[in-house]
Amino acid sequence: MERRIDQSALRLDEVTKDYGVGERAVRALDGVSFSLGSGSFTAIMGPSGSGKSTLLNCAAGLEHPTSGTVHVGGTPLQGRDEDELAVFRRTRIGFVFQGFNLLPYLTAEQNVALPGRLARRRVKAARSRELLDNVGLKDRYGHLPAEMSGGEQQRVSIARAQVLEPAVLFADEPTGALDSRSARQVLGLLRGSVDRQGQTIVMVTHDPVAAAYADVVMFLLDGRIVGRLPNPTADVVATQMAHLDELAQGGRTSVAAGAGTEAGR
Amino acid sequence: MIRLAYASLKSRWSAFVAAFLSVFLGTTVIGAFATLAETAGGDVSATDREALLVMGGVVGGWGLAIVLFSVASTLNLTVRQRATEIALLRTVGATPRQARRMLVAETAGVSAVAAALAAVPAWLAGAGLFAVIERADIVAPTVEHQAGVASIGGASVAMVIVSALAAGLASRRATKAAARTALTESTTDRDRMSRRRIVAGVVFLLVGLNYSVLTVTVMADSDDPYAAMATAGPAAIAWAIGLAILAPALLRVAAVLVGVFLRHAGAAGYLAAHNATRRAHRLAGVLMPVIIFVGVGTGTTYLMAIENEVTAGVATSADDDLIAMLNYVVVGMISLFAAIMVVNTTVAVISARRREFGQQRLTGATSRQVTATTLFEGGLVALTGIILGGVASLGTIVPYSQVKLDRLLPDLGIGYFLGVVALTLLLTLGSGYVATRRSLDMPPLQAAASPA
Ligand SMILES: Nc1ncnc2c1ncn2[C@@H]1O[C@H](COP(=O)(O)OP(=O)(O)OP(=O)(O)O)[C@@H](O)[C@H]1O
Ligand SMILES: [Mg+2]
Repeated sequence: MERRIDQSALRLDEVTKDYGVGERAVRALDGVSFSLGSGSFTAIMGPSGSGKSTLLNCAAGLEHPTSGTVHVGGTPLQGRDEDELAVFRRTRIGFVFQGFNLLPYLTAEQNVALPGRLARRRVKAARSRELLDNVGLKDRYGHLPAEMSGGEQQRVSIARAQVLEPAVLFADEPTGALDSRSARQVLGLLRGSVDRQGQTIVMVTHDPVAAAYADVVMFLLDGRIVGRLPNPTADVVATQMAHLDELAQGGRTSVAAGAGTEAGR
Repeated sequence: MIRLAYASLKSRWSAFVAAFLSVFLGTTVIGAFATLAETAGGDVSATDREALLVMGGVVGGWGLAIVLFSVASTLNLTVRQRATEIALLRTVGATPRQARRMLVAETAGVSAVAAALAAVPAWLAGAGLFAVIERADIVAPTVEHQAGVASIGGASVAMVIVSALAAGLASRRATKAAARTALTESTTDRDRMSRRRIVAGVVFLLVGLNYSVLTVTVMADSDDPYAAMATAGPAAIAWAIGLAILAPALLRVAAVLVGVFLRHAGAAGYLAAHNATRRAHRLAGVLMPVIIFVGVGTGTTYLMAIENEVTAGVATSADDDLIAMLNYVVVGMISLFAAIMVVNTTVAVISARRREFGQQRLTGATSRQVTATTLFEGGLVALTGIILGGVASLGTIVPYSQVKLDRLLPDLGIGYFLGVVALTLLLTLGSGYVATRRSLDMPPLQAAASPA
């Protein structure tokens, strides 16, 4: 069952994001609005280039929307400079980047503990190790990023995003570089922190199996939310994605992708 | 390949500026001294010829050593900064040979333009130098300054050849490993110094030691009052170059020692300590010119101060004063060059870290914390450079003081040294601060996605 929304952990109102000017102008997000309750797990799906990363970046305050507003836990993000956003983000928001962004001269364990140091919060060595253990990196504590595989680096960045137990976690294809066994482990972990710690998670994924771990799937096409699917199963999600691809090829997005009720507009 | 070289140049603005500036200023300094040699080759008396050759050859020779070393190490730095990009090119099919050709072609192209543009300032500097020499009556007033193709053209061509050689050598290292290994190693830099490098460093230290010892043993008994100066002066230069060649290993040691304290200086100190120990090779690019600047600056300043003290009681002729002034001009020129190299490499190293700064900020660092990190690193480099440069300067000061004043250290106070120290801190921290702030202009997300 879909959770009851008591207080919104994340709210976007009419968020639009344009890149570039003139001939090269791209509208990556086009009037996106939605609200997520705390303790919810949302998957965002859509074709490549549909604006998923842009949506996550705007929601996390990593990118300034061209217009519209974003609230995280009731706090507005607009009108703050980069430093204020960095301070806000490091304790309230976790982010798993598509490109990992680990610091090259810190070991796995040191990378995980880094947000704590930056926020002047003591992170016990046992805690960073536990987080690494949880993602299956028991014997990689002392490795530098360049000495790890892509999937291992991805799991380090997941552990790092969780170290300060942020209220909201954004994850951009967090299982993109993982085999199905590690992917299941990571997804189980995310599901667990939603269920047990009441964390709010927004995850971009291309994988219907991963999406099935979420409470709701939102479908994105050409920068708009075109569908919403509660209680997803892998099969239904796969069907919807195929339908979405047809729509994308047909070139228009007249109707919401069939599955959901009205997507926030 | 040339087109590719051009495209990659465009995307590597800071490395390009660093290479350009070092070759431009290097050609200016070398060209200026070379005009003295060309003048000596003209229609002049035998004594004038000898005087000019001593100035152009001996003094200019050691200036040449500093310039060549600085240019080579700057180019080595800019080539190494491209290691990731080179490794990427190789994984998509470029052969090591193609990659090397690209790097050499690119460096030679930049150097050729820089060396050509340096012709006018080299001519001006040479004419100025010659004017001082003429006023000091070192040469007959009839001697005409000659600054033509032989000197300035020769200096320019020599600089381009040296640059290409330096780039060739540095790129061989960058393309030695297997393509995939190169890609990962370029980001860690855990590599040790090559045996050849250690040998070169030790050789320069031995040359320095030789000059120091010669000053006390042989030159002290010489009839020529300037004999001791002729060996004491180069001593500090050779010591400084030797220590600079060994800089990566020395910096790693310093980073481990200082790191014990730095680690407790907040997140910024912690990041600085780890960057300095795990990527000492990169920071060593900045340490090298600092050692040269401090070593040569301190050594020659005290050399001249000792000289002044010796001649203080004695009535000096106007010529002596002018010779002293000539010393100042020459030392000033070389120190200025070394100072600009400090700023040049600091800016190049920091500008190449834009991506890393973006990643730090995405992890929650404020721009203040990022700036504090680079200032800690700059402080560590400056401190190490001041100590090593100070040691190098003793190679000049101790023997010269022994010969002229009969004691190991002159009674001149540490005022001059403190001046050099203050200047060093100002140069490294000032340029580091400005370069970091400039790199932070880009929003963190874009910075983290920009090329490494
Ligand atoms: N910095 C930028 N400058 C210009 N255009 C951009 C920029 N970032 C993204 N875009 C454009 O915005 C659109 C949305 O990009 P976004 O990265 O959000 O897609 P995505 O849905 O995450 O795709 P993928 O699944 O491939 O990661 C794309 O058309 C992209 O080309
Ligand atoms: Mg994306």
